[in-house]
Amino acid sequence: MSALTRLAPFARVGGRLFRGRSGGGGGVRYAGGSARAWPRYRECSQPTRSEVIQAEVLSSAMWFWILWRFWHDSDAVLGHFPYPDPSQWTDEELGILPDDED
Amino acid sequence: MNLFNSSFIMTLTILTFPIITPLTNLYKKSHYPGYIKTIISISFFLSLIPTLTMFYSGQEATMYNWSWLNIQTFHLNINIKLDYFSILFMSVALFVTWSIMEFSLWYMHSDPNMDKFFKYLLLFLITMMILVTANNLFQLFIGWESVGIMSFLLIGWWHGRSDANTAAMQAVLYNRIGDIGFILSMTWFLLYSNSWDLQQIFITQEGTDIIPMLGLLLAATGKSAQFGLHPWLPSAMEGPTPVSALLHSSTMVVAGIFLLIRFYPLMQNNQSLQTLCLCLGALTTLFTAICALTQNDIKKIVAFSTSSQLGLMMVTIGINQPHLAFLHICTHAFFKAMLFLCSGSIIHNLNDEQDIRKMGGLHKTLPITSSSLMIGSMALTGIPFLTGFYSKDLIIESATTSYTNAWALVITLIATSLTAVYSTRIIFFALLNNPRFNFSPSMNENDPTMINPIKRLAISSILAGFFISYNIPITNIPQMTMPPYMKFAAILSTVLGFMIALELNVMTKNLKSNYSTKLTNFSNMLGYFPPLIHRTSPFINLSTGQNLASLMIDLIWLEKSLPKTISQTQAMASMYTSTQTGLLKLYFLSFLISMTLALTLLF
Amino acid sequence: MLKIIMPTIMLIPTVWLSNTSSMWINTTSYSMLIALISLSYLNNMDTTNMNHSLTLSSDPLSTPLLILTTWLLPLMIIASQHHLKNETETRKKTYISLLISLQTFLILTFSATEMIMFYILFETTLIPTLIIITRWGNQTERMNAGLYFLFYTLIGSLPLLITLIYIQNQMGTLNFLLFNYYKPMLDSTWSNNLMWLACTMAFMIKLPLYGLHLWLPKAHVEAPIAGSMVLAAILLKLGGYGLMRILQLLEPLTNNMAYPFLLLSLWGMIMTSSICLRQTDLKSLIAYSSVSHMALVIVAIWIQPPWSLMGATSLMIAHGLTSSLLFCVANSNYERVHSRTLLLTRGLQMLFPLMGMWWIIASLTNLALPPSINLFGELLIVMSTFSWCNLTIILTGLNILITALYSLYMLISTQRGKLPYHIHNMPPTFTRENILMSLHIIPLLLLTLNPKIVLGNLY
Repeated sequence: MSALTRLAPFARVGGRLFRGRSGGGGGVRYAGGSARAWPRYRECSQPTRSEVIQAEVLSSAMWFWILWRFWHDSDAVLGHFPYPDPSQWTDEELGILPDDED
Repeated sequence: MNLFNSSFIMTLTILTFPIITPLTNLYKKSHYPGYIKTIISISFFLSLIPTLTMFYSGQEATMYNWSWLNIQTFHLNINIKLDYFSILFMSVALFVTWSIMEFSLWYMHSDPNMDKFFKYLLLFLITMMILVTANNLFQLFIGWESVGIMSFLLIGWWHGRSDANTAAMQAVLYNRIGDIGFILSMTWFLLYSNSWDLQQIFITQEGTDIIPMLGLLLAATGKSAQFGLHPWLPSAMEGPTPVSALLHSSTMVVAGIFLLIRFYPLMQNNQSLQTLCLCLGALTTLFTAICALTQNDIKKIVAFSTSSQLGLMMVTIGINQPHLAFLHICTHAFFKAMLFLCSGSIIHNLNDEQDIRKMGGLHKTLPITSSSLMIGSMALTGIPFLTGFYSKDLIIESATTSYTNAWALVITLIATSLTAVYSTRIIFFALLNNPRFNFSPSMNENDPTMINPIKRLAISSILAGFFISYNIPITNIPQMTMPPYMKFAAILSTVLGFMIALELNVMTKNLKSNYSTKLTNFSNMLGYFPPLIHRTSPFINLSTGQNLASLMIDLIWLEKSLPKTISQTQAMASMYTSTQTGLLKLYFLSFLISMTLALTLLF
Repeated sequence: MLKIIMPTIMLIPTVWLSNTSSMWINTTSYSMLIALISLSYLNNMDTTNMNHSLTLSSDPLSTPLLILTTWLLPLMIIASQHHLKNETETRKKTYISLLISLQTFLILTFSATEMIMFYILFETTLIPTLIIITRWGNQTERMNAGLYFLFYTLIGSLPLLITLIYIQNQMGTLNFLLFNYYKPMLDSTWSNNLMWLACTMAFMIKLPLYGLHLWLPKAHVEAPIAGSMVLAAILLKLGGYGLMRILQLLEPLTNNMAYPFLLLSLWGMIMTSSICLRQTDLKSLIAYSSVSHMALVIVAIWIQPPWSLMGATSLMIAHGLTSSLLFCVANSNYERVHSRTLLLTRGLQMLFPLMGMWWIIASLTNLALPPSINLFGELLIVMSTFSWCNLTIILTGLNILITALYSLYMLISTQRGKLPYHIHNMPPTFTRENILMSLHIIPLLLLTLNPKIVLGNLY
């Protein structure tokens, strides 16, 4: 249960994306577009919103693809046909005559 | 009449234009690297025509272009064979090369010889095309040697650095050892089939003779870095990252496996050769996966990953599934090239830092690169329905259900889980946690020439496996029925690898680092193979050359035996016969006595 | 044949009567014209030979060597321009006259029909070479080098003279066109064995065979550039050519007698390649590489099937051009630093990029990159030795490996790595040097397109 708190950063990032330009850290110098913000002292420059969105789109595309394929083609992972168990085959379907007949 | 042959010839001819244009005046006006990239993209789109034609109507062709030499009954021609293998490989290779060229526009931007770099990459591509489309062994040999030499020139690109020169020399050395095997096979086929044409060899040979097959195996061992001739591949990471992405992951190193795939009609009859391939491949894949576990250089980890996948391809050939091996070659090209490109992006953005112990926290600052790195790693480990799954899972399923060497099988499964382990290692150290590097204000993903190739390859890492495997002609019947534990073997070992690695990494993140254990040292020092072999073997050769050949035989024995003996004997003889000592009495006496004796004996 | 012999002889008065400013131009251009004329002999390659007169003929074996000889003269003259810069005019003219006379003798040698005439001219070519080595060489060892060169060759060739006179008495003629029609089947007596030895030793020493190769490093190293070029390119091939001619007479004896020389060459191939790995002297490295390639030619000639003889001729022509090219690029180093030590000229690719490219092409042809004729010749020879005895592939394969190693070692030592601190005053590459290298490389690359002409008379 406490492990679910590890999912909190996702909400934080998503919120920041939606909140718009004011969340783009550092000092934003240009008025328009998603220009890169100049980093603060001893910090790396933050990724722009479009970069983050592209990255999220890529990974979500991957997960979508995996899950969609899994929904439609789950045979590939789970097995196409059940493996036959020879001990379950009855004598009748194999055509073996019973022992007391001759 | 359709567009098949002509579009193929156009594809190859267009590739030669940027080599010829610098000889004219058009060169000065355009931006040469961008021109090459455009040419390759046009070439890729043109090559889709033969590919789609082959998919949908199964057409293949063999073009016989020019008679080079006719000696008595032996005919050597320029022969281009367009079958399933060469056409599909061409499209894949051109796509990957297009992305890599675009990436190099950014990566090699500050290099003063950027034009020459692009020309070398293009020459390499042309020679690789010669290799895969060759229908006779001589043409294949032309392509084979030439990719080796282009590899030499490209690995030693920064030739002021002695490590790069050593690595280039090492690459040529190991490739040449493989070439001895290739020449052995060529010789044998000429003597016993009277031809180097693949068709004639397949008709006249049944593949039961082991000698030419062993030669081909040696050639593949050298070129594809199987165990025994493998150290050149990690050393080849001295070259720039685009070189590693193109040569040493997608195209050149698969040439050895490609050769074995070409000869599959002969190999399917030769059981002992298949067992050899299986065991060699299994050994390679496990050994290099172990070596990858403790490496600290991101490019070396990816290089060992390549080596491990090459071992897996060799295993596939060993279980008599050449088409699956070829499928793995094609799918592997996509995500491995992308892994290298992402590493290149990380390296450049950290001011050429390659040590993963000094990276970290990059998933915040380089989001697209880190997403792509994760997609690539997941495709590599065979997560269901990504590109790698369609080939890798099929391979493992075929291996587990075939009547094969159990040791090799177990080794391959262990290596599969180790793949997940070192992939987790890269992701954990490079992308997660806190940064361990000094800040770099220029860290960005702005440049479209860097980010578009990575995005393109990422999308293809997701989708290409599906599209290729659902469109190719039917080549082998996959095994559909197997017990559930075999079905889940690959995915379970991968998930196990991921989980164990993640747990270990998280657990030991904050512990103090111990002295390395013996096992760590074994893995880090590449199994002690380079220190052992790279010291004893050259020492023996060089000291034989110096002591035995040069000093002892040449300068001492041969000098003394002929010239000095003759001259000293002559000098001595002339000294004895020409010194007059003036002893007249002695001379007269000796004359008198010998004359008297002679006369007495006569009469 | 007189079409090229008379002009070559007339070049000597041309040299002496030109004034200083046009001397180099005259000789270079006229010798290039003569080379172009000699290309016409390639025309009738489908007939067995062309008889120009009673004493001169040309056939597919001698024609490529002839063309190589005439092609090499302008290249030798271009290469010698720098080191003769400071000599007096008479000495320059003497030097060029020596080169021209050597050329004349060589043309006559390759077109001779009769073995005695071949022998006389074979010996005559020694004299101008000796004068070039001992008079215009650069170090004090040149006297020793000339001595070794002369006496090694003479010791082998005097028995050849005696044997040739004996054969003339027996057969009535020494015209090698007639060898095919009247060949005594020699049985294996002591005297016949000695005759076999006498016939072949001269050419084996010239080729050189591994145990008798000591003269070659000395002569090649001490000779000036033109001397090295002609030695490496042509004079070694005289041995191969003579061996192939006289082989027709020595028929069944060769099966047994050739074994020691075969084994010596197979072993010597690897030994000399290993020596190349450890050389510190650049010209000596190239000289030993010549020994290694020629050992392969010896093996090919002695096992005798048509494929290997084709490979031998192809390799001879290819090696002639490659070795001469390597000596020229080494000389470009020597002229700048006046020392042959490998370590003194490193990292040159930064300074001379175009010369770096010539170095790369030279090394690549030396290590027999496909589809050049170097590779083709070596491949044919390897295949013939494999069919003769399967195990030789180990030795020949090892040789191919070591050849690649030392060629690239030479390339990396001189071109790559850091530029040393002591390199100060290196004049840039002259156009003359670039022309020289490209004139070597262009025939080599063009022959790749049509190797039929260098495959000799068994094609």
